[in-house]
Amino acid sequence: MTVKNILIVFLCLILVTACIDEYWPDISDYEPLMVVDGTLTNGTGPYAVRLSVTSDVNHPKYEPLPACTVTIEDDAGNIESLTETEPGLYVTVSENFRGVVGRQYRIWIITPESKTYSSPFQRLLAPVGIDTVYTEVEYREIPDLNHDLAGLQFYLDTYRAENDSNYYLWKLEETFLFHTDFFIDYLYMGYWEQFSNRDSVHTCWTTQNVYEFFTAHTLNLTNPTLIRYPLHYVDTESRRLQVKYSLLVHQYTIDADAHSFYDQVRNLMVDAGKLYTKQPYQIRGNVSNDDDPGEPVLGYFLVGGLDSIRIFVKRPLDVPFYYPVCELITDMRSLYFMPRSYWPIYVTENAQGQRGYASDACFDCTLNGGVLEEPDFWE
Amino acid sequence: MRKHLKYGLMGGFLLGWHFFAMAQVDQVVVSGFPDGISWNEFVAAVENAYPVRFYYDPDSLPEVTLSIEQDSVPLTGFLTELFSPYGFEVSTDRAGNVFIFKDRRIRSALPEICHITLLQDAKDETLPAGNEREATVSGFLDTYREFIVENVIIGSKLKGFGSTQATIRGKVTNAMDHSPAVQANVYVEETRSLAVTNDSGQYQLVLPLGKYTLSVSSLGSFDKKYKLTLLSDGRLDVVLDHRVYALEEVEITSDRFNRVKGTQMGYERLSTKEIKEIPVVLGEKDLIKVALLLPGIQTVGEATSGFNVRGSPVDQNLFYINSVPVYNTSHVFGFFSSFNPEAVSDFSIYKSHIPVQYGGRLSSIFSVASRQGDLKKFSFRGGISPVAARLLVEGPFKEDKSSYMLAVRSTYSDWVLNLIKEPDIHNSSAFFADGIANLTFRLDDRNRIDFFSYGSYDDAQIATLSAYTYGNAGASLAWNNQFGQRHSAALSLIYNRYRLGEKNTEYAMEAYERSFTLGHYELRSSVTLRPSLNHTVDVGLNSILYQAARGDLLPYGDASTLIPESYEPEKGIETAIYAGDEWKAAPKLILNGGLRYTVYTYLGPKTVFTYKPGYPVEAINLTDTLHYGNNALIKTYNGLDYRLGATYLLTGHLSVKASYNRLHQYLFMLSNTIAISPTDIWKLCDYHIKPLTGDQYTLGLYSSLLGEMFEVSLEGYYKNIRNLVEYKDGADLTEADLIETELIQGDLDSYGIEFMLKKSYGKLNGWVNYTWSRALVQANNPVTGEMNNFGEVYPANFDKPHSANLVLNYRITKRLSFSSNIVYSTGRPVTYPTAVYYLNETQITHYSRRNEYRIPDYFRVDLSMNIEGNLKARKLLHGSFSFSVYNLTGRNNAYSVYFTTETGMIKAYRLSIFGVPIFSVSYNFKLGNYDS
Repeated sequence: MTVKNILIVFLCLILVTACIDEYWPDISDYEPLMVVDGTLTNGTGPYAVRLSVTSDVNHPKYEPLPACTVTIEDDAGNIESLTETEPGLYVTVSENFRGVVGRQYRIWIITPESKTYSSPFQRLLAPVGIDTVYTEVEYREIPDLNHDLAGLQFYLDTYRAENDSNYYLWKLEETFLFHTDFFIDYLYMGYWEQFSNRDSVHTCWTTQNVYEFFTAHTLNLTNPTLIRYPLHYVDTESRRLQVKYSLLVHQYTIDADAHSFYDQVRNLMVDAGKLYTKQPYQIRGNVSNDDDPGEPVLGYFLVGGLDSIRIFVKRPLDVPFYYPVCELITDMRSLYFMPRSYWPIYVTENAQGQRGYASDACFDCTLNGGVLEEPDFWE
Repeated sequence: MRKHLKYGLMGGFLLGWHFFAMAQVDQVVVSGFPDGISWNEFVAAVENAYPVRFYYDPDSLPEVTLSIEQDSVPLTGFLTELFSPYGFEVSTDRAGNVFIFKDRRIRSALPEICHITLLQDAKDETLPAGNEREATVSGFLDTYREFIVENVIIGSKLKGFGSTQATIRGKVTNAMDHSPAVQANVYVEETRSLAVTNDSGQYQLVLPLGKYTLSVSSLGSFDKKYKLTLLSDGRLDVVLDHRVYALEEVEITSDRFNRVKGTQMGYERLSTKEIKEIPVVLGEKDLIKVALLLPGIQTVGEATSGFNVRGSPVDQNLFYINSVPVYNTSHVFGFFSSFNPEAVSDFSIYKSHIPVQYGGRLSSIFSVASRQGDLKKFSFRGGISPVAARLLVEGPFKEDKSSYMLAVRSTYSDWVLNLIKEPDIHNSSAFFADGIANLTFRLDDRNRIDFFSYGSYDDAQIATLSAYTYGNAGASLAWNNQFGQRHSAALSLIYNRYRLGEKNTEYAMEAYERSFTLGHYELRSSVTLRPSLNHTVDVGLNSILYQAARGDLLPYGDASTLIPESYEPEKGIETAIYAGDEWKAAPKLILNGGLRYTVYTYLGPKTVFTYKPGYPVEAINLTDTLHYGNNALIKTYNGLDYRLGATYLLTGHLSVKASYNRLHQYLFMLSNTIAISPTDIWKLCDYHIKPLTGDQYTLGLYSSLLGEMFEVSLEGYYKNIRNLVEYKDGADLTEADLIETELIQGDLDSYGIEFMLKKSYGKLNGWVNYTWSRALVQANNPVTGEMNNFGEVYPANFDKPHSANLVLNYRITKRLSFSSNIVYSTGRPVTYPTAVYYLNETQITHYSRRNEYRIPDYFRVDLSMNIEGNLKARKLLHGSFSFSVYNLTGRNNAYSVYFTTETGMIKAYRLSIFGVPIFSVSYNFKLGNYDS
């Protein structure tokens, strides 16, 4: 071994031994904590409160907390009981119960272990209205992607508020119409069967929450109006903008504490694949254990003035789409060799009489998380 | 030439005197004896006529025929001529006895080195006393030296007329290489006065006129004792001989700082000799790394470049090399210290009681002293290890007047890495280099000018995450003067610039590069006065100009979407004026007191933002923007430091010490615990960020057992620091524009107890220490409502409750020794994600309380074996091999634990720097022999 080789070996040792390995810290004294996620507004009811329990970091799961007694109390002495319709989901039942602007509300929870939790009174503030929600086409550079990301950035303008200090929280719900790639013309299940309603499962609607929080305030604005506040970005890597897209924006006018909570939660959320670059810390909500104020209770019982708007966006023109498209297998002979468990196999036929098949999800939109019924609000 | 003349005169004088004593017999001249007289008759006749007696063995004496040619002939010469052909020797003594024996020369008197009285010429005080005397007593009787007591008269009656006390000044040097004997003890028995030589080997003692027994002793040398008659101010220079062979194998590895009797508390001192065998990473001997093995001193991780002393953050320690401050004291992220170990002579740490000459940091002062160039002759030394090569050359420009010392060290890894095809390694770098130059000019006996300069450069990469380049460049020019009879003064100009550049490429989308520079310009003046026996007064003035520039934060690489940010530089001036006294109040009690008044001004040019009073300092509460011009006074702070200490000797071997210090600090380092790699950015206190103040109380017991073989100490401390700067909960660690919106100032309480047992002598030596300490922070601002961790107390980022170190050296023979370290400490606190929950179907991570958990404990074992070259006293070059293994158990000590989110799951990673045992071999060489 020459001197040079020895040197190389030593130096490799220095550099290579610096290692990063996956490691999970020992947090064996973890005890599940209660999570409250409830909203009371001046909008039409019913109002829902979800109670759940935290799960282990390595096995994240939604764990509902059933069999609690949940009531909402206002400062006029009214008490409204909530009924558990699903495990962990408690809703108000009486139809004439509605949040009144200017009143204060709080929640009471009694758990199956007979622990009592409550929140301080929060005033339901008069909602500031949404002026408009609109979109703009935007392109973004993404590493590891060989093309620019294309999509629509949503923006929001509010009306001018009466007060100077306003805090807002937005929750978004998106609904989109999409088509599958092929119509079902035939079924093959060992024999051929013609399929009559070729487009019966071709078009679906999917409704889901947008998994982000949006918060803002008007404290250092000369004019208490938000202009061009950026909401979320919908790209063309999926089918959301394929045909028509609808966004339901709920704007909650909330107090400073509620804003602080959601803002902190939003602040600490880390995008996938990125490093945590903020000093992490524990965030607690506004509900606390009456007998043990030090017990951490997560989530928030939100009381806020609500204004909502729904907008519809058609497929943007001149914007490239990159969602994956199914490939049709046109070699019919291979169809006959498909195992029986795949039957019935959906087959499509084009105008030239050429047939082809692919996986079921390429034909049946309900297999992609959609529903066939057009939503009531759909235009 | 003048010296040789003196030599000659002295020699002649002594020889002459010697002969004079002998001449009584020699001068006997015999005459008037007839030819053919027999021996017996001759003897009888001579004995009759002269006061002479003959002694001889009649049986063995040869038959001789006496014939005296001349009329008269000197007796001794005559007898010698007569008997030497037969192999008989003739000896005489002063008493007139003549001895005639075969092959045996009777020494009739003890050698004439015991009782030399040297009369000092009162006018010529520069007469160096030591050298000449030594030169005349050449060669023989080495073993007698330690029992020699020399009689010395200092001064003259004339000069001392009317005074009651006098100052003895002098210089103690080592005979071997003429280097100054540093920290040698000069002790006067009768008054129990003790003086210790400084870095130049100089000492001063103030005593009443009279007679004393003075002894001078130093590590590795023979003692010298003097019977002193002090008549007036005068000089006594001492040359100490090296103790090369001792009867018992005694390797003295402790410094002679007497932990029991010395006045310093929380003071540690290490010299290069002591750490020769302690194993360190990759064969690079490292004084700073050894400091980590002392009680109360820790790091947060392998790759950090700072120390935590007694539960305080890294930025509360001030590091000096020869009075040049060093802001980053290590290479390659803390693997090696940034000082060439060849160039370092010793290293002191003040942890409890910080002397009044130092200030500006709340926790400790580390002071590294470099070697000074040999004033007599040229020499060099160096070494090669798998990582780096180092070389030191020193010598005189003009013998005894000026000297130089240059030391350089560099890795040669870069060119090797470039040869490797493996891309990860090919693109890595681990280059460092450092250099020290020290020039000394002795203008005259009272004035000395030192020029010192130091530089270090690093270019390194951790895994594939980030690349760093950083460097220190500093210089100082100092004038030392001794005035009056016993006072000294010093004036120095000091400069240092620290630069850090970082490229972070962990995530291409967020890749960035940034740089940081800190300039330090200082003027320092100090005066030490000794108005009387019992007082040593220190006064002085320091002023430092800081210029910190955070550079620009720029996106790095094509994929980075980072928004560039440009930061304004900052400037501030810190001035201090101090006065302190060490007072020997009673024979067993020494009191130490000082005041240091500091003023700090933050200067423009700067844009300052103001916020609504009583509201959290956040962007939403911004009220105004102020623009200050260049050198405008933006804000001024001041503070008074107290330094009080006391030492009480309960017995000769047991002392108790207490101290109280209040200190102020005007700059700090921004640090966090969740980053992968360190962020060593210094920031000055400014319009919003107030200065840090700290109070430290310490109490300790010190004892030496079994005749100073063992030293035991137990020291407890409590520190309260106010205005500690912490990142707020949720702070954006990359934000810097409105940096004050990410910071909160709180209180730090740290307390602990340190136990240390040290065995300094014997084949088996070393030390063991254990420290229990806590460091707790509370950040809760009642005025603005800002708080961390719900306003509750949380552990500081460097809180490590248990820490234990064991260092063992075993010297098998003079040439072979083994050494080992065992290091243990609790892991650093960290905030972990502990649970996951859902709001609005969105997944959210729940975290523990701040710093509620800890990363895994740190444990490491190192071993080394040192083989020295042969022990010939006369050889040109001496070499030694050192084999060492660092992290013998191969434990993956976590440096940091960090988190990312992948596909909806939170993933944790541990970064450890050394995951395997690191073996290394290094070879060291130096001019001279084993001991040089």
